[in-house]
Amino acid sequence: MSVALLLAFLVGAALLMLFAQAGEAQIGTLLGSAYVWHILRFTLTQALLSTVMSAAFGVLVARAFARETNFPGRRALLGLMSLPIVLPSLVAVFGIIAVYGQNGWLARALGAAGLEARPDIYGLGGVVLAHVFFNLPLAVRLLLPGWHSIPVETWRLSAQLGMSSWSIFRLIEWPMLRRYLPHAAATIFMLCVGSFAIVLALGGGPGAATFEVAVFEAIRFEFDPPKAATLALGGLALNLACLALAQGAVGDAVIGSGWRTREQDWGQRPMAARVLDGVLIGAAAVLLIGPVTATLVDGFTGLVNASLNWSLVGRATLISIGLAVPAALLTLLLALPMVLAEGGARSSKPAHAAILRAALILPIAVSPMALGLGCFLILRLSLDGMPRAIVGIVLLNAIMIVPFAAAILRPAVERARARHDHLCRALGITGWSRWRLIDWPILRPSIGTALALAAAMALGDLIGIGLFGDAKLRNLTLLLYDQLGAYRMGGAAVTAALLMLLIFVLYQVVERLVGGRAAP
Amino acid sequence: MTLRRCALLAAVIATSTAASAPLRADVPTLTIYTYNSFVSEWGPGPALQKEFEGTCGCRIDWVALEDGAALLSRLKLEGEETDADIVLGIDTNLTAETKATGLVLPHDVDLSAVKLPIAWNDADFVPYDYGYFAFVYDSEKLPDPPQSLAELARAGDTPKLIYMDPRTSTPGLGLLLWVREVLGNEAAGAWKNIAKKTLTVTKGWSEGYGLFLKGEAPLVLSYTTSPAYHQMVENTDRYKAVNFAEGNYLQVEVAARLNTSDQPELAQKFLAFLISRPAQEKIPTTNWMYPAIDLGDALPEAFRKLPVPAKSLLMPQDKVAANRSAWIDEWLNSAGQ
Repeated sequence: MSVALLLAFLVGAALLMLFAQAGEAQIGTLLGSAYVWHILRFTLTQALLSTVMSAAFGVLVARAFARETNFPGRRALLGLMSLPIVLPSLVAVFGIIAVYGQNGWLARALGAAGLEARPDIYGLGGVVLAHVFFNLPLAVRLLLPGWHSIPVETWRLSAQLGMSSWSIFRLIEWPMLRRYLPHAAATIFMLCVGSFAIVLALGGGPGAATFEVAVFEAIRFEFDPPKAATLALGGLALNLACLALAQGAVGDAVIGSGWRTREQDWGQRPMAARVLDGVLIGAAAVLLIGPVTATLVDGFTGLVNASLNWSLVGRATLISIGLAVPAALLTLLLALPMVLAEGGARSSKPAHAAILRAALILPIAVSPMALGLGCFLILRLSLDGMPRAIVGIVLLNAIMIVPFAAAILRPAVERARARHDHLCRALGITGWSRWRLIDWPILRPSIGTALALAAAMALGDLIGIGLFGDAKLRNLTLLLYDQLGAYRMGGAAVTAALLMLLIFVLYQVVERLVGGRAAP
Repeated sequence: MTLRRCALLAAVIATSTAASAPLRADVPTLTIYTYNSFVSEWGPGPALQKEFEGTCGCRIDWVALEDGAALLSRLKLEGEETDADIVLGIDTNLTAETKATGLVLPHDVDLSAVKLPIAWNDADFVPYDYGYFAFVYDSEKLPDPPQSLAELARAGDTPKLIYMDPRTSTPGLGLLLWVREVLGNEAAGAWKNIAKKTLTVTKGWSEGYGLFLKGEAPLVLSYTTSPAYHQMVENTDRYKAVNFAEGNYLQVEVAARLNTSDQPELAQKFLAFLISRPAQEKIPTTNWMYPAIDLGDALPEAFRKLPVPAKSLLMPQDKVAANRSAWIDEWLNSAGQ
């Protein structure tokens, strides 16, 4: 609980610090501004569309993955699923454009086939495409544990009863989805509301702008932090409304308490169903692998053509890792106690649990720009120079990643509680021995995944490192921007590919080392 | 095991970064706020630092932010508590606002060597380079680019172009002022037409120019000096800039010392160094802008061969400050529908 308060306090204080600055923000003027309403409309439209597409497609793909438990490349594909969400947006945008752009692979293939048609991704369509690229894999990662939470006994029973596929969906999967889907969708919605560079790059014109653009403008060109904070509060209100909606939609399905939930053997399923699963997984794979491959190919081309200063790349790599690992550990240190407390309070003190849950999601409900600047202002009070930059970057990243780590940890904690709470109470196993003997073995894979995700996300940090601006602390993402800013496209392509590979490798290594062999 | 390994790694990196920073001995430190690309490997920062530290008996500490607007914004946030002795990288559209912070100390530098397209006798800001905004085109894809702003703003769907958002970037703001300066009250109609030719509007120059080089559109907002990079580093004449018939909008980049600094003399020395010949010779091929003094034959040939705009446009500062917001609204209403 105290960690939750600390987190909520930090986020709140960050916004308060902005309000404390001189400025002329007046909520009345902002509410009366056609511009604000226009931005609100576009933010909502693109976020809703992106969320519906990501979530709907995500349910289908997660279901396919849950059923097809044994095909070559499944594990690798699931590993890839964690990649988009942690990629710096610029890398993803260039990857997407390399495939779907005016001069991309698709356009050139159409041209080679003698067709006139060309893809046009600039506009709402491109924004949604990019957001689905980012968030479909996230949806799959968040929903798959739902299927894993359905006990083997349930499946066995459904088989014995000869339930139709529709009945299985209606009676087993839908109640499970009502537990998992609302929060997954709310998370995606909030990420799309906070999206910024992608929306501008692919939006095709000034009409395509989110709240975050207005926050940025207020900070950069209008020098009006209170206005930025007011706009950030507007975005926060939107996100909280969405969260409330999600909370209302959550069903009260009982968590399965069966033992073996993995390696479910689906036996003979109709060929048509398996083909459909194959098509869904294939489509998701194509969506995912296209931009990733394009980034690697561009990186390789750049490697051949550009001369690189490898000591610079090496140094940036070390700095990236050196900042990401502490940030990941701090993320876990913040998220795990809160998720455990939330799990403990769920049945006895539902209000407590709800507060914890809200605190855990708060960092992505608030404008990243406003949060970052607020944190900078707080840290200024006591630190300066390199220590401030290091503490600030680690802290800011940890705060912003907590919601993702919590989303990964929560299902495992719920499962552990559902299975062992009664037994532990009956046997009087508490405290450290309970953690060591009961919880750790069950939670370990999820802790590994959460830590891996946190490290990978922090590796691609730009907000923190850009904000504190210590010229000696330059990570790979900043190096990428430096190269672009100096016309070095070839070198930038190499850095982008390297960064992506590093993110992928770090994720896999941390997940396997910490999570053990059972990691998903 | 893993955690221990991670901790070890973190410790190694922390100590190595700490060790790479010279010890805080008794040499005075000059803290300079600037933008990222100035101090990157390819920018002028590293060379200037080496040169200056060799003679000043001091140490330069850079704080690098995203761009000129970020610098000013940071300065406003920190106010009198700022660590900066010098702020370097504000452009002419932001000098009035910078001065309004009340933090700028007159530079006391002899500017007689400075040679810009406009007269410069500002007591507060030392100009260190300049450039003209221009549309750069890919001559392989667009042999016949528009030759004037009026032609660019004519009705039609082509050629496709990329520019930057005036809400988030300084070149974007430059284009906004350029259009306004040339077309005045016809700007709204012009933006409506330009919108039909716009492929996309990016957050910053890097994204926009990157998309251009990837072949997404044959025309992009950049500088007249951009082709010099492609000629000198990539040996290609493929990318060229158009000088518009109405003239091109000027951007002068400046530096200033701050009155909160406890070493104004050292700051003054750096500003004087900044427009000295050794420093200025490094500017063209690192910042890809024109130097602020006449380098004569020391200016690289690629720069000397660049066509110079017929007219340089620059709006008075107070006019920019007073109208920026209204003109952005005009742009949004015309180009954003």
